[in-house]
Amino acid sequence: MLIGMSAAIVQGVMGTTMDVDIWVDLPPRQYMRVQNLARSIGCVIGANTVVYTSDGTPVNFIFGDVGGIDSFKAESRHAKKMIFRGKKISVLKLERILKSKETLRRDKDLAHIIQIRELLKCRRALKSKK
Amino acid sequence: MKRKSKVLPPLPERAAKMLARLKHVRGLSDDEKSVHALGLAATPEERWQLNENFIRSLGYWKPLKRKKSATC
Repeated sequence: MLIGMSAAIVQGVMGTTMDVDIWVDLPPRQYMRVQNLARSIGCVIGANTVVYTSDGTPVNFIFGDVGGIDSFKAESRHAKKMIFRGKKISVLKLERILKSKETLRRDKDLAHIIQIRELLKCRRALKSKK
Repeated sequence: MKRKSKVLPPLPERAAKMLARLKHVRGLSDDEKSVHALGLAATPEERWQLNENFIRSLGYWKPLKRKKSATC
């Protein structure tokens, strides 16, 4: 499932991010399975959970729990299917990305929180006008 | 039966229409609204492409160098 700022961007948040975060429903000890799959499609391994695609995009794999939100199974029930780089992929809902960032509150999250809140405000305004 | 794919007008046109719809939103300046209007008007693919173009314009995400073969 696509999470983090890249998931927010495909849902309309006008921010930027340098990496793509993919949440994988596997225990952390099975990171090699993901690495092998990534290698088979031409990615270069950067670290246990980081690969670079052939065009240089860094991809982070997140195993286990994500701060501030429910389990993978619970979150995937509300995930949206969206086109990302030509593929249909599950994307964590914007409200849940916000919840996670509000919980983690890393320095980089603070600007993202504002951007996401503003977009949700615009979305709500559009809905209420319909 | 094949579904006809909808042809969308160019992104700037859609963004301008969206901005007009956001005019009444309070607490955001026009320049902030113009950015959000672009995000709301774009398709998921266009949104990611905007991000990718921006990142690449800064010189990041360059294609990885090919490994030199052992014989060279």
